Amino acid sequence: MNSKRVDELIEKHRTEKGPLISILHDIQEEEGYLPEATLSYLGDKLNTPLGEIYRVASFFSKAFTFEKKAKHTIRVCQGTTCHVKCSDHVLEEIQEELEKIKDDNFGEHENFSMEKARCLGCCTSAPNVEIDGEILDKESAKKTIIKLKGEK
Amino acid sequence: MKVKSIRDLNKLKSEGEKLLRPKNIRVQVGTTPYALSRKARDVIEKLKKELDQQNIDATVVRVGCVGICYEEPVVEVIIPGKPKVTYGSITVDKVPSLVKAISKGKAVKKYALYRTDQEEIICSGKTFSYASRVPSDYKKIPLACEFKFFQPQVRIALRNAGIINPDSIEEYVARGGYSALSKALTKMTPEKVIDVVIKADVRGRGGGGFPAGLKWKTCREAKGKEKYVLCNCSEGDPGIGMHKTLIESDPHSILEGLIIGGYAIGAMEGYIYLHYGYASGKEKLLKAIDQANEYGLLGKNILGSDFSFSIILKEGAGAYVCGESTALMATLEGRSGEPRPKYIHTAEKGLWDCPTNLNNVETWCNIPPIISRGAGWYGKIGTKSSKGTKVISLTGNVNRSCLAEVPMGTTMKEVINKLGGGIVKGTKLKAIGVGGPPAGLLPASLADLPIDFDELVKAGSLLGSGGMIVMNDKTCVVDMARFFIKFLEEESCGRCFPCREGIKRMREILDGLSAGIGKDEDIDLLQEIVDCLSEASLCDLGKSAPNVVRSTLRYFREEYKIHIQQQVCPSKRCTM
Repeated sequence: MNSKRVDELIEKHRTEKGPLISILHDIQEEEGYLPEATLSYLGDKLNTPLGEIYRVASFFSKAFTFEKKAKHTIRVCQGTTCHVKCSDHVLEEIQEELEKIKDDNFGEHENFSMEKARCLGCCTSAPNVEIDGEILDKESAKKTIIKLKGEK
Repeated sequence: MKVKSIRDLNKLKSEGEKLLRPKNIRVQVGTTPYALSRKARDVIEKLKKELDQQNIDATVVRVGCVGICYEEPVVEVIIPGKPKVTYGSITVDKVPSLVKAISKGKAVKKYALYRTDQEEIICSGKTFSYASRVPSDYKKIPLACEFKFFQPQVRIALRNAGIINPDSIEEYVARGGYSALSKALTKMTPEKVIDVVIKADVRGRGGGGFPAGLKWKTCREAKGKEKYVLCNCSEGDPGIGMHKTLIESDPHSILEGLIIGGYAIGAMEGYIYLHYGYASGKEKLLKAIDQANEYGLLGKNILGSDFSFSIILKEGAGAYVCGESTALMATLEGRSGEPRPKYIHTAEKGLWDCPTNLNNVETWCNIPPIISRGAGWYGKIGTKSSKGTKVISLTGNVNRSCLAEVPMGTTMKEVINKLGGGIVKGTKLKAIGVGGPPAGLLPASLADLPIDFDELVKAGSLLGSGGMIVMNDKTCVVDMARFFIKFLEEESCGRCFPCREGIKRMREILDGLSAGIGKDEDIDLLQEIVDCLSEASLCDLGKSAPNVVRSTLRYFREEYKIHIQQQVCPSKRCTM
């Protein structure tokens, strides 16, 4: 992210008291992660030590990442209701599906990142999987993965 | 238009009434995340297309959620002069026949769940009648009050959920919205408002059940020029979606509660702390805040009074501990969300060291009707020590997952059987988790316990935020304890030693038990850690973390023993 854009984001939150987390959200959303150079520049501008920025960003490890995310995000819900309905097994199955992709040499694209979600707020249809924002059941999730892996 | 007087508010109200009960046909479709995952969007498109093709003068409106999740997508049809009919599980294929019936002014019995002839408007106590005469084909459809899902319910916080378009301030006002604010500002002193909240004996719906009025009073009396009121919308508990429903179905009720709170406490700013990455809720709330600003219900000199107030929406960054008040405030200040000791209450020194009052979404939603109808009305609902209602999100091994609001004192069994339609066929009730990870598990034998703050604490649980997760006999309690402890281990902020290390050690022991390598002394050791944690932890996360182990040791000790002595998991859930 160039310094001009960082300045714009700081300006956007100028009237906000304690704006750090809001600015970090904006950077994460636009860049997909928090680049070190951007954080360093941000620290200078906000007069906040870089260490403090990292302290906040790493504390909220679910919201902020320091590495670029993959093109497709698969989130397997591990909330309580999903756990009661054996979401740990779903996680294993999805992992297997992704392993297969690696075998087919699709892994090199690093198109998929998988994370465990806390609760997708859709407990009625538990256990849930979310792919790129769409909530699916296990079987349709597998189908979607197969479909997506065909894309370059 | 700026609303500067009660007369202006009434104008807005009549506009809203025209929208809610238009001269043409109104078709409303629930659009919560779950409804959308069941293709509600396609149903809306198809409805619009069919209505258009058949030249029917109708408006299709997107509403929130009635709570009948198992019947989504839910479609409601209001034909002028006829009862409102609620249809469940409407798919794209069912739309043509539904529209055909609408064109003839008829109802389709086979898709209908229930009908509504008249509706009580909670904020005013008046009833609105949809139809004075019920046509014979409508009579075959059961009334809402005969429909099992509604029988045990009293809907105060959920009063507008699924009825109004959440994007329309007019519709909210038509249902008695902002009348409590106008009453408070024109007829009541701030002290009087607090007095009503104290008399109503509203207890905080966030977990602990602390009397809200008392907290407000302390905050009002605390010294400080600037004061803040906060709304906790973070909903960190996994397995519930009730805040989502309140936000997406009726955002103005949160704002109105918060503005009244600000007036009572003497705050000029209110903050809504929202879960990050929750785009649909953020959009709804921002829109509601914009509308309230536009109409002068937020900003300078609200309703022509001396009171000025603004609301700021801030996103958190997703840590469970941020539900704790001091951690939440640290996050709002842009710092990492670590709690601090609370020997100085946040009501005296909270956000930016100013007196601050924090309540959760459900508590704020309850405030407007209480101010409108008075403490006496509210006091008649619920039990002696827990007044009012509780929103319950019911999930797990029940036949029907749903979101409902029941009077305090309703038993858990009633909730499971009447709202949830009982336990999944062929299995038996084993345990109930009521208030999320810190609440512990209760055995089936206690299913007759009422939903009540004190009764649940006595049984070793917590009402918490009211996410009720029902577990059948295929669930292993050791595995569940391990699941919750794992969750809390990840979420412990690490600031104090008992919580950071204690939870980790409990998890290691539970890992051992479920892997079949438990030792006899493990149970005593677990008990010791449990006691230590609840004594010595800094904040409520650590203090309540061992509840799940304590309650399962209390009620399911045999199962622990079987895991250790026979190295088997009776429910075959643990992989040994």
